[in-house]
Amino acid sequence: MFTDNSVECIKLSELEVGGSAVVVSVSDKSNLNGRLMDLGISPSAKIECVACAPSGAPRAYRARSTTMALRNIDADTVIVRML
Amino acid sequence: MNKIGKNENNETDILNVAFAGSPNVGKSSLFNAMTGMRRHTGNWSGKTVSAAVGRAFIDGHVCELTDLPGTYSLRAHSDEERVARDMIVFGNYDKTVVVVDASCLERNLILALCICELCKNTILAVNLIDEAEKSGISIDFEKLSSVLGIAVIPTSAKDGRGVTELAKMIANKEYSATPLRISYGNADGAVEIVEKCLMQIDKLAGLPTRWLALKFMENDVEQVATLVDRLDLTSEELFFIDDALTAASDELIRNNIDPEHFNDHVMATIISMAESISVDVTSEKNENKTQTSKTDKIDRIMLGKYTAYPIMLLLFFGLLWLSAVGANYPSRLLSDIFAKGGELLSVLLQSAPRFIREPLLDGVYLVLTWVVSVMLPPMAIFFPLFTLAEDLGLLPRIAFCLDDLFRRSGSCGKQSLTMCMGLGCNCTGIMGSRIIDSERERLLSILTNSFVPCNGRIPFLITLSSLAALLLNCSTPSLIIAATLTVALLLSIAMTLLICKLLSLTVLRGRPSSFALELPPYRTPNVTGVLVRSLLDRTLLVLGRSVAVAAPAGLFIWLLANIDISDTTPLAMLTKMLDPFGRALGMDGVILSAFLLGLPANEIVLPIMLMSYSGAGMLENAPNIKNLAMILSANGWTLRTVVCTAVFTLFHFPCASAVWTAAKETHTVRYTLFSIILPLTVGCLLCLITSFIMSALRIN
Repeated sequence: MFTDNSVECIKLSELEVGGSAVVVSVSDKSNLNGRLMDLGISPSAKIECVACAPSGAPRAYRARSTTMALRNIDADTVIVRML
Repeated sequence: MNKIGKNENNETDILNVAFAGSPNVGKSSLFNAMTGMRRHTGNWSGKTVSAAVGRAFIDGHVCELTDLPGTYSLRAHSDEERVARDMIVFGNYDKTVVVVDASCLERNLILALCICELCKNTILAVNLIDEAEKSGISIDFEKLSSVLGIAVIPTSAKDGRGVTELAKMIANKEYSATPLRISYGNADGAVEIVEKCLMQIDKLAGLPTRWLALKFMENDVEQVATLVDRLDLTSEELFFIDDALTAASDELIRNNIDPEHFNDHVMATIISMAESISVDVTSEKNENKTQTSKTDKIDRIMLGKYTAYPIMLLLFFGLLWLSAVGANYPSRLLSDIFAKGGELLSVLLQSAPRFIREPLLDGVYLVLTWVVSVMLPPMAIFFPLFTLAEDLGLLPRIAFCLDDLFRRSGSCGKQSLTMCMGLGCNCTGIMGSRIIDSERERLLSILTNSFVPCNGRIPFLITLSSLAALLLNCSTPSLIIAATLTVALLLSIAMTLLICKLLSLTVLRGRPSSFALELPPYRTPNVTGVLVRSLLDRTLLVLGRSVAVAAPAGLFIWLLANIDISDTTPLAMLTKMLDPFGRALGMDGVILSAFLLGLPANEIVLPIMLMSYSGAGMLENAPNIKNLAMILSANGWTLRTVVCTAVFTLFHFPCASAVWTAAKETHTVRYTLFSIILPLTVGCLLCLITSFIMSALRIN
């Protein structure tokens, strides 16, 4: 087996509605860091973007069966790998 | 803080039990099912700000149950979480029931594991089991119980399943759990160093030393300060702990763990543990995902790009219309009943001297019953409907859709909900601001809440717009009324956003806080429960506050209108004094003094005005709109007066109970005064401008 370096890592905020991804890292720059972890958004968690507000932000993400709304500025701090 | 400090209840036969859990897991409903005590069970984050206490009698034992604020973790990001954490750690409860949602066990187990590590006798209540079954999730409870080492009970507050079993387990004095000891992998050695050190300190005997060790190692400043304060540690003991912490830090580095990020290591361990336990005990039939798909389907419309705003507007106007129009009949009924009561009272008080009978009947009784009959019906309609929307899960979605708008003015989407509550009553809106985590944004919401017209002001606005329609000779007055109300509401929303922006740039500077809002699945509310709770918790609370202010105000107004000082009354003097100011603002002295005397409740502004104009000395019921127009025109009212009065109705000082509430919520004189001055300034400026423009354009 070899590690596939071409796998695309993007910011969570760039995940399109309906798209699924796996959390790679959560930056500790966010003042939400602790909160995101508490809500189950932590490395290796599967996450899905389920909805966005009519104006485009915030967006709603589902991870570990919980749906959470996050602003783009906070979702920026989460790096995910597209599935 | 006394109430939530160490439990002083030392009666041996009383069992103290805490209910802990995340928001939206049905914790409060389960609590109600156990205690029978009615209290609020909102479907959004952080409803329970102060803990509710209820008693239950189980198998001959008296159990005192405390419903802790809902928390996602014990790491305390908000006030509620801080309260909950302190209560769990220092509350000294005999048992702690952790309530989790069966449909998202994995995420809920994170909190459950944290609490297990901390409390001696933990019981896990896996709630909302009916919802989980519907979505095809089944859980092996026995396995879960043996893995966690604590009792696990499946419950459903809705159909009453498991409630008796949970009660039995709570009352079981023999119950003692041996919760699993969480291993932090290669950090275990370091944790043990601190743990051993803490075990040597006598005063920490009986406290969860392993948990304390973790907290000291995580080095969260607020947390450590609270611990040192609560545990009453001396400086020697602190030095002792510090030594152990240095040793532990070295040990961590030796094991390739960055002590700075020890926090993350702990959380990651707990999360992966929750994950593996959850995978181990749950099985899911994927083809039967009805619950999530139902929520997703509704959300596609509720949050849809083109449908979200129209639906929200429709709901909003429906709510307003129902409470404004639906209240007419019960209001009239109530005032008829009170009129009969007044006649009865006057017969009873016939023998009493005049100086007692008149102020009591024409002052206190009249104003009091007036406020009740105008205020109660719209609130009794508005709040149940609002609570219904809350329990359905609609409110977090509204906050979600509007967040972007509020973020631009430095606030957050949750403010849309406090504004909506403000439509019912500004006091509730101000109190409801507690749902906002950030202190800065909470203050924004409190200071600007009275910009939204409450149920007490909306009927007056309607009267004013029908007056305008009459003055304009308009053939379709209902159109004018609808247009005026829409403009008024848009104006108040625009003003709120503008003022929030200005405040964010000046007095309340700071960047918008982070926003993490859970969108719970839609749930069918329990209608009778909603009725009872909204009436008891919101309507009666607000009514009580208003009555307490209205009774003395009634006496005061009567005195002002009836005391004779050299052939004039204090009211007439006040009116005369305020007249120049009133004129400058496009109104007159009578209107201004009516607003001033209407401080206890905005509902009595119009009656006071009529009383002043007629010089009758007691409040007068508004006659039909044509007669009202005649009376007011005779007293110099023009279209300009109507418009300026409407603007002033929207923006002036908040009513007395709202000021009282703001004082209680902000705890500072400065912000309380600010909440009065802010809308008053805006109102005066807008009236000046309106009056100037209208007279320049010669619109009269």
